Amino acid sequence: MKAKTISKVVIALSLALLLALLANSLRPASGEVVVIEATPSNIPSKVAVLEVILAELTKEQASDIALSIFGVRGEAQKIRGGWMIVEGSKEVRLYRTGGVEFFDNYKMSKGCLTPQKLPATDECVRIAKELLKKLEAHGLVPKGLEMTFAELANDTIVFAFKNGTRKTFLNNIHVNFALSYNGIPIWGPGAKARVYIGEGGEVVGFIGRFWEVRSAGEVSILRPEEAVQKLKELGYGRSVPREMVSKVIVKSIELVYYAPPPDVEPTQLVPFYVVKGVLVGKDGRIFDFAQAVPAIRS
Amino acid sequence: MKFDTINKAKVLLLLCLTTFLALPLFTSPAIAGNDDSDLNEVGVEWVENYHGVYGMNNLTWTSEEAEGFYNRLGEIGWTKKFDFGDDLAWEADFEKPAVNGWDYLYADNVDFAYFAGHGTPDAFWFGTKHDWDGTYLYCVHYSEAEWGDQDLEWIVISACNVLNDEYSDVFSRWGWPVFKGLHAIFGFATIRYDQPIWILYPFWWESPGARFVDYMTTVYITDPFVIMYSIGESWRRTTIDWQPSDVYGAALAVYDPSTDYRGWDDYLPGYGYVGPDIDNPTSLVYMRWQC
Repeated sequence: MKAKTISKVVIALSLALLLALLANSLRPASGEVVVIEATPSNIPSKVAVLEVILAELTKEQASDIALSIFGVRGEAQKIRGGWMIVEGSKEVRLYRTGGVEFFDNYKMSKGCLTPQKLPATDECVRIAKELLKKLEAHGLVPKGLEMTFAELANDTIVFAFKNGTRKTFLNNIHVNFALSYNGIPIWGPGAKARVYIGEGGEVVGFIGRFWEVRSAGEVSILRPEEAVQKLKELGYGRSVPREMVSKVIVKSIELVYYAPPPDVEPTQLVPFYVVKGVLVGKDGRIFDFAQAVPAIRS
Repeated sequence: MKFDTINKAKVLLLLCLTTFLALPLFTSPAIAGNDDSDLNEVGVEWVENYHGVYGMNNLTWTSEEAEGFYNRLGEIGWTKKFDFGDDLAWEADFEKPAVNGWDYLYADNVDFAYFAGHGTPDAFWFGTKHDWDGTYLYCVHYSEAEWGDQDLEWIVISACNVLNDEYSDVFSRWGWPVFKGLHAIFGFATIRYDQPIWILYPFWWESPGARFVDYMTTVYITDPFVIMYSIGESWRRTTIDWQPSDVYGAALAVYDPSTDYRGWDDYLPGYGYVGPDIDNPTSLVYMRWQC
């Protein structure tokens, strides 16, 4: 009888321990509560991996494009992944991956100590769309990707003097367009379609990372909740004391294709999740976080 | 090549011995003045393992970033002075003698320094505690930094938010107190993603630090034009090639209104103009851009 009672107690204790261990394994190591506010509902279990199609331009074609679109006259020379044409402080780069770049280096990086006459936002969008039309007419806008207007942004320069004076100027306004494939956004350094507009509405820079892609077959991907679980293992990418974090609120989980810069000539673009949200500290402070998590199921 | 723990212990031992023998000298550290006889010395520190300090998560790619920078400069003939990672990366290496730091042996004893790890607007962070005055532990707080009084011209602090100017205070943090001959600080105004430049995930990647050097050292000659990139332009291009659009890169530099010189307009020595050291600048300039 006594032995039976002891064995029952041992079994009960073992079960309790097992349950405790199981519960613990489901909880983040730091003990913070994770709230997923927005889980995308339409994430497929499989998505295509995108094969990058390279396009070869001749030296003459590259020079012609630089002149007719950006007004840069010069002999094209080979650079990593494509061609470059230079005139004065201006340069045009055309990549085999489909990337197009133009910079007036002096106007892009110098900034000035007097306010620039920059156009109104509507006018900036109009100028940007006009440039895209020109590119499209030359067959430089990708057929495999969708492109939509995204936002206006700017680069800022600030001068400060020991006497306390501080002067802030906009260096340029830029118009950003978003790229996507079958509704899945392209994300990362190679996901930029941006027109930089400077003094008097002049186009002083352009980045068009115009991938020509096609499906190279489908792969299984993680569910969004699994991506959040993976994020807990990776960390939130913020140097906020973890024991001070009481709550993690995941505001968005987005399935994207990661795209590198065009000169590295990747063979494929692969899916990632970009998870964004806030960390709520025990002292009430709130910190934003954003992390990219590989989406392919291993 | 990395210094190992023994090397660092040796330095410590040597310093203790020197302190004992020459205590009066060390109570008021003698700074050698601007040492620009050799403009080609580089040192890097990076942290991936934070040991859970203050709950900071580990990072994955800072070693590849910083060492890519270090090795690529080494390939073009720069003197590689130090490469300290994880537990060998110490906050004291960046701190001024007035707070018992020894930047004159490390960060301020090279021309180009690079840190990659965690950051906040006030500080950049380490995974081990090596702070000789016991304040602002595990980090280099801006009040502990004075750079350029010996050697340092340029430093990259590749960490989130260090050059954030949301409250219009970047000059009072990393500007006036810190610039003592330094030409420019390069970093980020917002968060940055801990990732390399992926070429083919997960097998093939490129170091953004190496790409930064590639920009600084590339010369395009298309007769009659020559295109070369200043250090600032190289950093801007690197961040655009490396980070997505929700990240903003930033730079802070000395500014001379009489000549319109900005510290970030320097070229890597041997590739173009390098401005003078300005020990007590009366004007500074800050730029932030969308990556």
